[in-house]
This record gives sequence, structure tokens and C-alpha cells, in this order.
Amino acid sequence: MFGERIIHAFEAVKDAFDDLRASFFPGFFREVDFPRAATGAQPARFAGRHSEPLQFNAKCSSVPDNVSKSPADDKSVRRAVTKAQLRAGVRLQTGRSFVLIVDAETRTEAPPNPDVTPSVRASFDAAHFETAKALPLPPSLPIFRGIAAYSRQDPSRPLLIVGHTDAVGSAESNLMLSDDRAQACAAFLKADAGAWMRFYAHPQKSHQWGVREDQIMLSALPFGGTPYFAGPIDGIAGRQTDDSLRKLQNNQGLTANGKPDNQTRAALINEYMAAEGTRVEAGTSIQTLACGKRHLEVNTQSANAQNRRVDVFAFDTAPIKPLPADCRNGTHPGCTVYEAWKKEVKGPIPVGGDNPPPKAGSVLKGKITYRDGTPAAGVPLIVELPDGSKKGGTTDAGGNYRIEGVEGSAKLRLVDGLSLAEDPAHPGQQVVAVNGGGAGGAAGETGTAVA
Amino acid sequence: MPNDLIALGTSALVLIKFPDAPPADPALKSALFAVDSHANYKDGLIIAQVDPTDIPTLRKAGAEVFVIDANSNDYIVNTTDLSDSERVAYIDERLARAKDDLLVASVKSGGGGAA
Repeated sequence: MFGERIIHAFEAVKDAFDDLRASFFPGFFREVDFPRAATGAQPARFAGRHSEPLQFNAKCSSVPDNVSKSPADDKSVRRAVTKAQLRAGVRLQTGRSFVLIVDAETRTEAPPNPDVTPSVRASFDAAHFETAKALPLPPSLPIFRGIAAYSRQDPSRPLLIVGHTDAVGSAESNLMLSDDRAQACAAFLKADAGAWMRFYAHPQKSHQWGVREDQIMLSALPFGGTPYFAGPIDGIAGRQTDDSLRKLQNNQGLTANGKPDNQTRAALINEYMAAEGTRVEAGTSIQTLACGKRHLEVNTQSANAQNRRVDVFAFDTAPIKPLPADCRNGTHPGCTVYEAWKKEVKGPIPVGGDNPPPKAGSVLKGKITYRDGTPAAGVPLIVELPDGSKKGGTTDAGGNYRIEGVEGSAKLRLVDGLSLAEDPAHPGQQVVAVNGGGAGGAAGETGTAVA
Repeated sequence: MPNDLIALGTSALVLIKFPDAPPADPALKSALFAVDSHANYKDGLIIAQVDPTDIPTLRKAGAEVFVIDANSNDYIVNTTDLSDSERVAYIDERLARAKDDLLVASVKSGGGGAA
């Protein structure tokens, strides 16, 4: 909670300083790498060349020498800080240093390049993947949440996911890995479980998913609950892993055999991909591009964490200019496409939050039986919410269903087209939905043979 | 308050893909053998007619089941006047929708559990 308030404070401070920049000295501030600082990946520090720290606690202290000669004096900066505090709704804590390093180098803003589509960008780094693997690790979920939230604001914005590696290894292997990671991220945003299933049969043995990836996902699930798997992530199948798979299978209405068969893995992936708020709207354009070691962030041939990354560009408009194919088919070294996109990045995509817990009281639950009173076990069902979104579930062995996160008037229907009607044994209870007729109309249907 | 409901059903027209190997459980195995198959469709799918209440059991036995029409009579009414290609398009559209629905339903939002 405190971290979130601090993030807001930083955002507000940045905004306030942006105001200052606009008022007094355009071009004074360099583009700040805000999310990286806010997530704690780096200290709360916005780096820039030729700079000195500008500190502000409850009040600001010093300003760079060459700034003090400018119209922005201490008073102006103090006003900015006060404004920031008001906008953030928090007081910047006394005794806690918020260090903002600003670039004192005056520069002229370049006019927008009409040949390059502007974008905002998010990045996954080396910490979000295991070596040689494409599974986005649980810490990557807030970044997905941020991307999805941004994309949902205007689904017509095309997304481009660009995978990179460092320079260690063959060009071919690195291209494959960067492609895997870009594809895996795209699949996550679309909740395309099938795309991830292919990684379990990856032709490159070192890139293949297995028990280790199962354990990683099992240890993160169920979101907000006690993890299915609490053992070491060692990639070794054993009793703990089997037990955790059984828990998953029981929860999903599958045969609880503790085996990581395809059906179980698909269910595992589906549950992992169901992380709240990480899905883009259906129909959102997502392209991927594998760059391998072609566009290094840090120019070194050694292992480098900064070079192992996946960029997600959310472009303002379609088509993307220059075209991703220009990079894919271009000559390397010498390709300028990626650098052109980077140069026109307007700012970062804000990182989303952690998995929110289900809201209290927002659970739709009940029981479904057949006419003879037998519980309707293992029946898949869907709840359609007023906003057009859907949530799913499957009845358990007793015919019970429980769908979390349901708000407002929701419509329940069974996937297999079975009709629902009020149970005459419990008169007066609300019929949630009726397929194929009125509440009473469908109740009299009986089996009919095809002529 | 829980919503207690009754599921109603008739004979459903489905596309079914049988598992590569039969299940060990004799009850599940016999459920697969009892399926009233009509014709091969494509991609290993078979057109069949089943009691809707048997579908969860068939899935448990490892079969993939996609309901084209929950009531076989509806299928006949809906497709009687269609040409062969239109009938295939009809089935494909229903198949795609069934797959989408199953994907949504398989994403756990609580799933089963005591109410």
C-alpha cells in the first residue's frame, strides 16, 4: 500500500516537474524512466547525464548550478513539490529522500518523425524469464496487467512484442529463443493456452517446458489462495508435484490422477493465464518480432541481463511504421527499424498492480441437478456479465458451482446448451437464466429421438 | 442465497473425438462404447448423438465433446434446407463457438466447490 502511494507521489512529482519544464525551460528534463524506478528495479532515481541530484523531502534542497541561474528558482521548485503532494494525496515523508536527478543539458525537442508511428513501451527483463525458457514468470504479471489495461483503453492500438537476447550463443538459437519469448507473451495477453502447450514439445530440448514450468505455475496458483505447490522448483517429478497436480485437477473437475497429461497442463495454463486483468480485448492486433542478438541494449558480447529483454510497443495507430517486416527481413547489422521505434517512444506503459483478491460478496454460487435429483457433475458453465465479459467454471461432483468476481445482474448458461429452470422443490428461488425458453417453458422438455 | 436449478436436456447432436487410448475405468470405457456415432466429420471428429447428461462422463473418459445442437431436433430443423456446404459451415460455426465457450469455462473463476 505504501509502495503504491509512493508510486503515485513519484508520478505526481514527475507531472509537476513536467509543468515546470513547460513553463520555464522547455527541453530541460530528459525523458524519465519512471516505471523502472517505481517498481524498485532501480532506486527511485531518474538518471540523466551532466546532472546533479535535486532532492526534496518535505521541502526541496538544492538545484543544479546552471538551473539556479534560470528562471526556475527554489520557490518555483518548492511550489512544484507542494503541487505534487496535493496531486498525490500524500505528504512526501520528512527524512525520506526522493532523489530526482535531472539532466541539466538543454536540448531542443525534435519534431515528430512522420515515418515512424509513436508508441508507448513496456519491457520485460532477464528477471522475468528463466535461462533459455519462454515462460513469463509470476513477477511479470503486473507488467502484463499494465499492458492489457493500456490496450483495453483503445483496442485499435496495435501491439508489437519484440524479443531480444544477449550476444552469448549462436545467432540461430538466440533468434529462436527471442521468438519463443515474444510468442509466449503474445499468447499470455490473448489467453491462448494452445500456444503455450507447444512449448512442452519444443524441438529444441533446452527450450522445452516440463515439470519445472508446471511447478512454477503451480506455485503461483490459485491466485489469492494457498499455492497448489509449495516445494522447491527443481524440475523433478515427485510426490509433492503429483499432489499439487491432484489439487489442480480436483479444482478443475478433472480426473485427479496427479499426472501432468495434456488436459491437466492445458487447465494449468488456463488458470495461470486467467490472472486478473491481463487479457487484451479480442481482436486486438498483436504482432511479434524476434531480434535475437541483433539489437543489443548494451554493446557487449558478454552475458548481459539488460540485453535479455522483451519489449512491448503499443503504437498510437495502425499500420506500424516502419513495418516490423522491414526489421525481420532487413540487413543486420545496419537495420535502423528498431532504433526508429525506440526514438519515437513517448513514454512507458504504467505497470499494473498485483493480483487483486476477489471482492467480498461478489460470488455467484448454487447447485445444478438433473430432473431426477442427481447432481449435474462436471458441467461447464459460463456467466455473462453486464460489461460483456465472461467468467467460467465447472460444477463439482455435487453439482455445485461457484463463480467469483461476479457483479451486477449476471446471466448464467451451461456451455453444452442444457436448459436451466427453477427447481420446483425450491419454489420462489430466482431463475438465473433459461436457455431455449421461459423459466417454465423448458421445464417440461423430455428426451426426443431424431426422426 | 444459492440458486438451485435443474438441468434439462434431450438427445444432443455433438462432435466427439475419442481419446487415443481407452480409460482404465470400466464405467468410463463403457460410456465411450455406448456413444451413438453417425458419421465421420473431419479432424478426427465424429458426429454423434448423446444424452446431454452423459457429456461430463465422456469428457472424464478423455473424449473431446462439442455440442452442435443441444436438441437433435433443433439440428434437423436448422439444417434441413441447407446445402452440404452450408451444413458444414453451420457445424463449423457451432464448433468454433463451443470451443470458445469451453475455453472460457475452463478458466477457473471459482469453478466447482461447495456453495
